[in-house]
Amino acid sequence: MTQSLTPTEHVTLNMGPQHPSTHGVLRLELQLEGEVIIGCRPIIGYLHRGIEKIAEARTYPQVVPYTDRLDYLSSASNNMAYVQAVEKLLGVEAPERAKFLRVVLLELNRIASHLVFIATFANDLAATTVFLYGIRERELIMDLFEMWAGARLTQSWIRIGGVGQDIPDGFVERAREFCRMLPGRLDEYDRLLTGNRIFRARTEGVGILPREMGIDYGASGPTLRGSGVSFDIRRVEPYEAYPALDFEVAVQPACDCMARYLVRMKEMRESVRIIEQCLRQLPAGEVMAKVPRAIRPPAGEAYGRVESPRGDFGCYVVSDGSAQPARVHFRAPSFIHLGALPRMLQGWKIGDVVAILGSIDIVLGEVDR
Amino acid sequence: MNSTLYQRLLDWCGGWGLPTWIFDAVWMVAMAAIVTVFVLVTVLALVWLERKISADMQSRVGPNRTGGRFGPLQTAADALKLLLKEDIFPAGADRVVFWLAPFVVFVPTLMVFMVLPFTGKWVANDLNLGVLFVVAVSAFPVIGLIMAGWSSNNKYAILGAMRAAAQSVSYEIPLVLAMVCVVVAAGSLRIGDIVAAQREGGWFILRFPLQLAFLLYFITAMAEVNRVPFDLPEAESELVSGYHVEYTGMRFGFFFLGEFAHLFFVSAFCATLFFGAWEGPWLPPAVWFLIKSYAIVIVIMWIRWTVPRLRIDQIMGFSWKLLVPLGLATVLLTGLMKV
Amino acid sequence: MLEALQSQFGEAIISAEQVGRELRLRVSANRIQDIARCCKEKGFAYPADITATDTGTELHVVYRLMRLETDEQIVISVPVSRTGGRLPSLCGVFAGAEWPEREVYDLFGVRFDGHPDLRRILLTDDWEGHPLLKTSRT
Repeated sequence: MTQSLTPTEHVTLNMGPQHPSTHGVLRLELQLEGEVIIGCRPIIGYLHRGIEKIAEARTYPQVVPYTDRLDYLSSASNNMAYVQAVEKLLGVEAPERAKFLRVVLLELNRIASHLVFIATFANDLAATTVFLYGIRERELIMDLFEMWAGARLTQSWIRIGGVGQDIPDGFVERAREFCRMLPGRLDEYDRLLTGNRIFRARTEGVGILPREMGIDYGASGPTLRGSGVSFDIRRVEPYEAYPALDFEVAVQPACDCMARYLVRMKEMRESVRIIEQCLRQLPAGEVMAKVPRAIRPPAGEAYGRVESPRGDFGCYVVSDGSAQPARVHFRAPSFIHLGALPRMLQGWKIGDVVAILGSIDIVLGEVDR
Repeated sequence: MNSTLYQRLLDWCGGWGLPTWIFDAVWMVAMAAIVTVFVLVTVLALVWLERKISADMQSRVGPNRTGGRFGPLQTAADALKLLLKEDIFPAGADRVVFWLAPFVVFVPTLMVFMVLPFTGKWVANDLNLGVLFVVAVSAFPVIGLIMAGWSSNNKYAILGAMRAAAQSVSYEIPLVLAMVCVVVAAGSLRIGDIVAAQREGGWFILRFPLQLAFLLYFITAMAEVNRVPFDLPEAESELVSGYHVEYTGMRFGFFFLGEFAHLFFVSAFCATLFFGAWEGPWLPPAVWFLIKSYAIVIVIMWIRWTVPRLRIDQIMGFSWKLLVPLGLATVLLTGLMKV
Repeated sequence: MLEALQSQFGEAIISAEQVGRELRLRVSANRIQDIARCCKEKGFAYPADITATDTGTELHVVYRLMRLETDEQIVISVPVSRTGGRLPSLCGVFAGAEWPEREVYDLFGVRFDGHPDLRRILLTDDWEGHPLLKTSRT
C-alpha cells in the first residue's frame, strides 16, 4: 500500500459469534490491513455452562453425562478421561471385555469426529458436496451408536467400572460392514480433495505451526502431529486395550493445514484397523466391574488422559472422600489450540482464517465447558 | 427482428393513421416484455435445476413437494416468499445507492439479451456491434455490486465488493481476448455474422486455435458470474454473503435473479460463439438453442458443486499470470492462422 | 530429576512424591518461575495444564509439565491465598501458559504478575466474583 499518498487504517473485523465457519460460538476479532491479518483476539465463553462447578454438586456417576457435552463430536473420549481418573482414585479396573468395547466406541467416535472435520473443512473451502458425503458416512456411525447405546451423539456409555451395556446382536456384523465400506469412501475424498489443485493451493504452506512453537503452546493431537511430532497418548501412555493393538501413529512433517488434514485422513484408516482388531479379539466376560453403589473414592487426586480426536484431553479429579468430587477440571485441547491461534493467523489473509481455524478442528463445547 | 413481420405490422398500423413512432414504441416494449418474460422463466428453471443437480450430486433429493413430485414450483414459491419479507434498511446505509444497486445489477443483465439470437429469426436487435455491446454492458453489473457493498455500511459487504471489483476487472481482459479470437475468425462484431460463419465452415469449437479461446471464455465467464471456484465476492463460508449481506426480501431476490440471468446469458453466448448457436439437424432451432445453452449451464453447475474455492490472490494470479498471456497468444495465433 | 531440583531449589520444595509417572511436588510461590524454567531446560517443555483447586482453606494452583519423549510428568502444586492471591506468571517460560492462567484468574481470582493480558476468558468482562471458589454458590 502506498502509505505516503493514501492514508490507510487498520480495520477491525468481527467474525462471529454467529458465523458459518467458526465451528460454534466463537468470536474472532481480527485486525486487518487490507486483507492481511495483523492481529487476532479470540473471544470465547459463549458456551460456558459451568460444567466444572456443576460437577462439584453431583455424585461421581452423575458427572458422566455432563462430560458428554464437552467435546460433543466425540463424547466417548470425554467420558473416558473422567472415568479413567475416577477409576484411578477408586483403584478399580474394568474387565477385559469392557476395555475392548471401550476402544471400539472410542475409535468409532474418532472416525465420526474426523468425518465432521473433513465435512466442515471442505465446506469452509466451498467444496460443499464433500460436506454432505462426510455427513452421510457419519450417519452410519450414528446408527451404530443408536443401536448400541440408544443415543446418537452423547452416548454416556463409558461408565465408572466398565461400559453401560454389552453390544447387541448384529452389532459386530454391522460394524464390520461399516469398516469394509469406509476406506473406499475415504479414497473418494482423496480424489475430491487431496488431489485437487485448488484444495492444495488453499492448504499447502498455509497456517504453519512450527514444531517448537506447537510444543511450547501445549498443542497436541493431529495439530501437533501435523508438525512432525509423534506424540499420541495411545502410544505414549496406553490405556484400555491399546497395548494389545497394532496401529500406526499418523505424523506429517509439513506443519501446514494440508499436513493436519492428511494426519486425520490417515487416522481414520488406522481407526478402522483398530476396530477390526478389537472385534476379532473381543474377549468374553462381564462388561462392568464390581463397583460399590455409592462411589466414595478415598481422598486424593488423579489425572485421566486420553487421545481424543482433537488431542490430549485430560481430566483432573480431586476427591475429598465424599460422594461428590471436590474439583473436576477438564484439560481441553481445543482451548489450548485457540490460545495458539493468534500466532498462527498472523500474516495470512482473511480467506486463510477459515482454512487455519478449520484445520485445528476446535469444538466450542470443550473450549468453554 | 424479422423485418417482414415488422413491415407487415407497420403497414397494418399505418392504415389507422398513427405516426410510426408510436408503433415503434409499442414494438420495442413488446420485444422487451418478451425477452424479460423469457429471462424470468429461465431463471426460475435454472434455480430449480441447480437445486436438483446439487441434490443429486450430494445424495439428496432436492425440492420434491411444491407443484408435484419434482417440485417445479419451488422457485416461484421462494420468490413469493421473498416478496412478502420485511424490507429492512440497515442503519447508516446510503439510502439512494442502497436502493439503486439491485437495479444496476439486474437491468444490464437483461439488456444484454437484446443481441442474443434465440433462433435465426428471433433476435431482439442484431446490432452491428453485437459483441462490443455485450462486453460493454456485461461490465455494468459489477458497478452494482460495488454500490451494494459500499452502501451497506458493513465491513463484510465492503470486502465482498472490493473482491468483486478486483476479480471482475482481472477477468474482463481474458474474456475480451477470447471473444476477440472469435471476432477475428468470423470477421465481424455482429453476432448474426458469427453464426453465419459457423454455418459455413463448421462450429468454431472445432477449429484450432479456437478451442483455447473456448477454454478461456468458459473460465472467465464463470469468474464474471461469480460462480465457484470464483465466488469470493459472496464467499458464504467466509464473508457470510459478502456484498449482499444486508439485503433482504425482493432486493436480495434481484441480485439472485441477476446472477442466474447472467449465468444463462454467458452459457447461451458461449453456445452462440463456439457451438453454432441455434444450428442443428432435425430439431427446430429454438430447441437446439435451449439444449446447447442448458448443457453449458449444467457443466458450470457441475463444477460449482465439485470444486473448492480459490483465495483472492490466487484468483488474481491465475488471471494475470496465466489467462492474459494465454489470451494474447491465442489472439495472435488466430490472427496468424486466419481461421 | 527430583535430585536435580532439590539440589537447586531445596528450601522452595515443600514436599515431593512419586506416584506412577507423576512426580508430584509442592513448592512455594516465590520460586515457581525458576523451577518451571529449570524443568523446561531439562526437557519438560510441554505445558500440559494449569489449573487450581480450592481446598477450603487455601488455593492450590496446579501446573502439569511433561516430557514428550519419555512421558514423564511433573505436577507442581503451589499453595496460594484464597483472597488476593498472586503468583508470578509463567508466560515468559511457556507460551501455552497464557490462556490457562487467564482461566485460573477468571474462575479463582488468582492474579499472575507479568501476564501480558490478564482478563477474564470464560465469563463476561463485567462479571463479579470468581465462581469456582467454594464460597461461591452453585
